[in-house]
Amino acid sequence: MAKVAQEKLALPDGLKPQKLRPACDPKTLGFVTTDSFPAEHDLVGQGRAVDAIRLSADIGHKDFNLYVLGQEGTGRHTTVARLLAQAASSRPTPCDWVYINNFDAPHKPHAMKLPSGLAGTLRTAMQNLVDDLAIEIPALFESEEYQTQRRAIEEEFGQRHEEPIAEFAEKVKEEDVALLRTPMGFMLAALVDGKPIKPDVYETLPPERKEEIDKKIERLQEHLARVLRHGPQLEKEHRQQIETLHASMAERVVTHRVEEVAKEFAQIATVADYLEQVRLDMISNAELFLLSKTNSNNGPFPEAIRKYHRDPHFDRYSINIMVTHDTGEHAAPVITEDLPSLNHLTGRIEHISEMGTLATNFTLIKPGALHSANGGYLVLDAHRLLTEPFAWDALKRCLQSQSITIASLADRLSLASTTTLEPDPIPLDIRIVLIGDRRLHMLLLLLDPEFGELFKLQADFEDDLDRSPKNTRLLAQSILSYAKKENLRPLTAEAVAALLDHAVRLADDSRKFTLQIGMLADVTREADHYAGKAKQKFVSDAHVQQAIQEADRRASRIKDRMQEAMTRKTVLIDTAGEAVGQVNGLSVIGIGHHHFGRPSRITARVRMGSGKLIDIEREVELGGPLHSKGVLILSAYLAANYALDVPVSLHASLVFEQSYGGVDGDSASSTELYALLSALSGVPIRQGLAVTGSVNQNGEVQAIGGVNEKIEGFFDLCKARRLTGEQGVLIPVSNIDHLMLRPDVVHAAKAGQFRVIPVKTIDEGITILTGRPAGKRGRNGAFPQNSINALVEARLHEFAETRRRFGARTDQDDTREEYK
Amino acid sequence: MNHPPSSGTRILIGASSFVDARAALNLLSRLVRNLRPNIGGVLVEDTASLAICALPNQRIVTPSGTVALAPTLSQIRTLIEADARAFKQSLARLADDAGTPWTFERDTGDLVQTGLNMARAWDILVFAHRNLHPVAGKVVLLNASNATDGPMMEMSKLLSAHLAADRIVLTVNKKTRQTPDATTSNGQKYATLDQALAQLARLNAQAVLVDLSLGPVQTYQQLQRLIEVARCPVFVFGTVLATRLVEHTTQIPPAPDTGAA
Repeated sequence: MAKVAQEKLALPDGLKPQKLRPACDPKTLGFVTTDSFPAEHDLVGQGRAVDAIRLSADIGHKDFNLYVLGQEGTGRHTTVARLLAQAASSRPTPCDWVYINNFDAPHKPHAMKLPSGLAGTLRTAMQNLVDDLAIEIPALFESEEYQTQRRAIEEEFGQRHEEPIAEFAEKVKEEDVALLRTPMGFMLAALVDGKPIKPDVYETLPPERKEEIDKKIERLQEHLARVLRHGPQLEKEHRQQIETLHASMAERVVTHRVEEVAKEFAQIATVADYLEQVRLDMISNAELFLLSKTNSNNGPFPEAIRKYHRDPHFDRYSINIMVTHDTGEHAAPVITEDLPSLNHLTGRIEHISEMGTLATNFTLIKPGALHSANGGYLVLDAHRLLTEPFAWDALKRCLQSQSITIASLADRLSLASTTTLEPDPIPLDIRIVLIGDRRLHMLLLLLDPEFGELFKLQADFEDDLDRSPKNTRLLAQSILSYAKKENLRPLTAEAVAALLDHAVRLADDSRKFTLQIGMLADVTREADHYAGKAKQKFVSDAHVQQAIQEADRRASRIKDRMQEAMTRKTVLIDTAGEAVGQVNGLSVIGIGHHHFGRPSRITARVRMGSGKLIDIEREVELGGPLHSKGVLILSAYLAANYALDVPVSLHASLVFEQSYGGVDGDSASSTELYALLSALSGVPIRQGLAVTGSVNQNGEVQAIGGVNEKIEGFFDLCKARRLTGEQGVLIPVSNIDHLMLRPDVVHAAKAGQFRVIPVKTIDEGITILTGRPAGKRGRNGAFPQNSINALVEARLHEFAETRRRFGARTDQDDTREEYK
Repeated sequence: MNHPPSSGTRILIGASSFVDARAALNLLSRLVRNLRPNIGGVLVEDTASLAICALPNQRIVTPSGTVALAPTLSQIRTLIEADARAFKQSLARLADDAGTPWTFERDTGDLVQTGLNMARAWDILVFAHRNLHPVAGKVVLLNASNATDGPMMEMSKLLSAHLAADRIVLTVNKKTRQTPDATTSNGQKYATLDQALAQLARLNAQAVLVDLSLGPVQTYQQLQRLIEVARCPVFVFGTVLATRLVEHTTQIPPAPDTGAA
């Protein structure tokens, strides 16, 4: 390895401070404090999504349901709620839906549509009808008119029963036969001396006499049997006459009362039909009203005000309201269902325990969110919906059939075997809005063919907003609108500017603002709190900075422990001096919304070999695929740029020292290449510099993510040890636009204590890191002498020659052996 | 459960089968809470019925109108044992309901005779009879005078009220003029008992009341005839005179002690 003392090139100055943090100028906002501004609309930068939401809300065709996608905190829920409320206010109020008894088939209740707001009125009318009849019908059956008619019927049938029996009894007496009662029935026996004949006496009778007696007894037995057989027929006639009497008595009072109810709902044909069925049923089941009278426990309330309609046997006349719009608001419903389980969506049929079994009826049908939102809008969380068993499937079925069918989970899984109902499906006219993340949306599109058919629209919420002067003002207005809505203190222009700077930082792009308004809102509220504690009337930029710093501090325990390990040299990271084959790399660690940079030592070792570049992270399965890709790219760069006339005879290894967790991403591939070039050339690298950037096969340094956190991570370490003025970070040129560093980093840069140096190519980078020119291949095909590239190529040639000689010697030894 | 003290009225139910007894027990169940009587029951095995079962080719007509072979003697005995158990249990339930004592006995012979033999120890004797049809009938009083009070009248009013049944008085009086009874809502007068019984035979009655001390029933045969034509439970009052109706050669056993059997 050539060791040539050479004068180092000086470190470049790096980017100007204003490039490191292109902050917002409060003077350009056009106000001093926000209290002088009226609150205006608070949504900015979501035109694409808003148009989609409005289309879905307004379009009348089916299946234009909407999926709202975007990151948390971008205002999806708030925007959806506001826009749907606006759209709903111009839509007509939907009708009411109720379930009524199907008198012919009680297990198939009918659904009845009613004008909006009328369901409650009908229910009350039916309850009053039952209460009235429960008093009037028993009174009717206690009346003299009924009693007289009833007694006449009883008299008639009593007579009709007794007459034949009496005639038979007389006949039997006339014929000298005794009619005896036994536990099993009646027996007939001839009388002798006024007493039933005994067997021994019978045996002594002459045969003709016996025959005569036998025939007589047989005849009379048949006669008695005929009389007794006629009994059930008489009983049936008796019952029918009683029923006819009941019906005729009940008909008068029931018809009168039902007509009173019918007048109230004269305009509604369905109600008129229903009331006619009720009338007929009440007439034929008038005894129900007598039962309720009988079961009255004569509690403290007089019967005149007792609520008879609450008795379970009057459930058949109930009105089960599924949905009613009786609040007086003239608007379509907008419903948000937070727990979109199968039952909560489509409703459920409840059961009650009766005599050890589960029974149900139409009054036990409970509505779901689809019923409540019918005619309007239903907002659901996509993730919650998909995690509820059978809920997604049920929703799709309802949308496809345009009706609400109630099915229980137990029924779907065939777990329960009990009586259940088949209620009429209720027609469904609804717009569904699902709110979820992008990944879920993509999975649904890929894996569920029905999803695309039913949810034709998507409202994609932007993550960020271009940083134009107009958008700056719009975002500022959005902040002040939020502050007014939340009753926060007015903000100074500086405070708003600080929030806008934070929005830029969150966007990770100096030309963008983040649209994760939720995060900005959190900072604003925390700043308001600090202003309150300090008894300030306004929220200033200091309060905003405090809020940002405190939030960072709360999440920084791990970062602080890692830095402590570095400052205490438990984890070895140099921030001064130089070393061969050793570079400070930078990575970002993220936990939730908090990310921080962490310096890592990357080392490379080289020797002669067969062209193998070992990525130790990959070897032990700590390196992810992207990291491996980066290493392969840099090794391809190496192979394509140096010692092209000899086989690659290098054996090299790269590692992230003291890294025991996983490593992925290619943002350290340029760093690894620098370490390798240093190891091959033997030229040390400045340890006061850290590097980040990925490299392509052309040697160009490409953009990476988390540039601000990485720079700040290294800065914090250098600052903890002492800034020397010879420290800084090399970043890709394409990352300049992403810079929004902390004020303390900017101050250090301004004071010349720290630098941020953009590089475009590997040659640029190695020059800065080593202080020696990289060198460009001349027309003769050689690199300038003592340049980094020349040294690297020389080393590779050396390895190749050593390998060639080793190969030749081995062949000679083999030949000598052969000749022996 | 606490009950008010017993009224002291003693009622004996005589039946030759449980199906007959049940009809009388059902009537009494309506009265026990008011009356709270001491109740007794006697199941009498009718020797005549037992005997004719043994006649060759004897048939029985069931309540549903089917003609079947008559049971054998052993079958009849089995049925009687079951009837005895059922009668006793029903009596016990009825008495427990009212909180009054009860007794139960068995005997053989003629029902009317046995009942009359035991009657001296009881205030009311009920000769049970099964319901032949479900249509409820009237409460019928068989009277020989125009008396409007007395235990029989009170019982008839009680029965009428609890059964929601009309009450009719058949008065047997040689001097009858066929005019309606002034004190009852429905009354008929007859010159002879036979006429009254002929009318009773065609009446739908669910209970018949007669007072032996007042007439018109005064002989065993008349009582037996009454029971035959009534075809419903017959409540017999004036039981102190019951012995007059009994054949004088019959030994009258002492009255049993009251209390649960």
